[in-house]
Amino acid sequence: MNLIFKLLTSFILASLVFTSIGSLSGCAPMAPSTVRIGYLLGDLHHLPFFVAQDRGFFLEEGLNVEVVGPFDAGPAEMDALAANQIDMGYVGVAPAMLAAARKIPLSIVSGVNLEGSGLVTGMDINSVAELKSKKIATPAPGSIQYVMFGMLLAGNNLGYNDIELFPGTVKPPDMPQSLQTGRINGYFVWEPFVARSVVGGYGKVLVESKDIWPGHPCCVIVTGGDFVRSHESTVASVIRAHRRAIDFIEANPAEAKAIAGKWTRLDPAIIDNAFGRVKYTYSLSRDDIKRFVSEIISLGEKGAIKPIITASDVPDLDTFVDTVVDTKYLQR
Amino acid sequence: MLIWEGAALLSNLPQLFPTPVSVIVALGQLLAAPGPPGMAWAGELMGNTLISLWRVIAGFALAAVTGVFLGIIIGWWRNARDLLEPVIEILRPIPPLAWIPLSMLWFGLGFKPAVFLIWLGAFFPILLNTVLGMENTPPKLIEVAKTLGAGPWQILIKVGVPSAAPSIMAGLRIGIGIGWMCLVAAELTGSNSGLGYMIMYYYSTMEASKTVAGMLMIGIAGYLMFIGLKKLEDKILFWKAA
Repeated sequence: MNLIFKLLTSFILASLVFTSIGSLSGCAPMAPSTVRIGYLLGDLHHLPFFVAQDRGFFLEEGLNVEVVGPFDAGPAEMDALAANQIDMGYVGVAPAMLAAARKIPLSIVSGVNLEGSGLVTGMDINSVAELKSKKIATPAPGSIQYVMFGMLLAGNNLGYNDIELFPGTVKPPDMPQSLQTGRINGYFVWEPFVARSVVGGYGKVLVESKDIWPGHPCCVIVTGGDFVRSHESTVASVIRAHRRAIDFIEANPAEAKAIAGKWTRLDPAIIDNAFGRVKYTYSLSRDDIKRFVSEIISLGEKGAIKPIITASDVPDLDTFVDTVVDTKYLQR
Repeated sequence: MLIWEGAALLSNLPQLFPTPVSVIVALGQLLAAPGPPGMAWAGELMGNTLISLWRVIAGFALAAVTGVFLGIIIGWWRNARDLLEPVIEILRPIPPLAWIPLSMLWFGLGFKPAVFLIWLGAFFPILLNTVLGMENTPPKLIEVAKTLGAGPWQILIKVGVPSAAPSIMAGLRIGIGIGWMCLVAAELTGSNSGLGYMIMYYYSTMEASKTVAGMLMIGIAGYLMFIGLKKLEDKILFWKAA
């Protein structure tokens, strides 16, 4: 009885602490002249952002960009969006749709890239079937790579219980070294961490993400629901600068690679190797995003991944995707 | 509870600030969900709690044995203290979290690095309290034992160690608390089971109520371990209780 009383007292005190911390969240929005943009750690997919910053495209649009991050993984960036710590962000489509399914108000306003991830394994593994009981790392659950890996497993009649999976507890920059030292047998991640092991000579690309789903959606630009309503012209300016950056990458690959090296501090050989696997584009396909969400739901049902988004989270998929994806800024 | 529930409802941000009701529902869901690989029978919450407890017990037991043993040596013999104190004082201020990258390099992923970090966190408070207890052995007791014809080893075991026992027990209590904190940090990196991992997992999938449920379980398990140790202390130090 005494123990129960003590536990209850502790619980009430903890509730008070929690309440006071929680009430501090929800800050006032920033002045409109500045736009706070987040991005992911060492992610080559976000090269258009690096280029737009480096070449002054944002400044030429009259924008004062405050760079926030880098974030370790998409879900952390989406939390920052929900907590009003960023206004816009370069992030994977999976964490963006996951956040939307959790009722975080946001809009996807532009594409960033297609494809550009892969499964890297040690030289001794030659097929997906050989992954059984092996230690495989992926970025956080709810990342594109986690979902794509689930698709790969499902396509080979495997589930997440057949693999010793480490989702999110080996950081992407640590994955190549973990493979090299034999702590893991493989990893599914974004570029340039795929190329790093290949160039290092201790890993090989067993499966590229484009082999699982050619032209699959990858990173996108998201903006907070309130921000996009109250700062339409700012969002339009960001997208204009972003499109210029993508055109620049296409027209000047050598210079773009040099900028990538500056932002990721990676060896030119690694960037060169990674570049061929990423397709930069600002276009957005509602159908592809719908397919992506339905894949997440069905993979959870099949046991290829632990359920992340369930059918009950998204009762009407068409309306859900149409509400989140906003392509009007791409037409301006 | 009502204040928390009211504030959470008012904030209308369930993904950042869950209500206590949603946390209780999440606790129920986690109890019913299948446990981690190899422990599906235990359910997700209890399976991960048992894994974490096993790691803490292993790391803490190692820290107790090594910390008390070294502490007795350093606290009793001046030469040992002069020799070992500088090394200990250099290593002691390094936070256990700073050892995470090296622990992964040395021990890989999963159980071993977690046990190493728990040992590291629990070791120093146990060691220092043991040293302090041994150093504060009343000289009068030693003199009396000598007068009664006790040899050096008898004095150490029958006078020094019992005299230091309350201080050693205080060190063990502090050590288990720090070890529990290190466990969570260890499971956030390089792990795929345990309460720390469970918290990280549900943080990533933006299920805040399950994250808070995991935090709550850590608090409850840590508190129960503390009470267990206190009861053990009362039994070992029966003369103090009397």
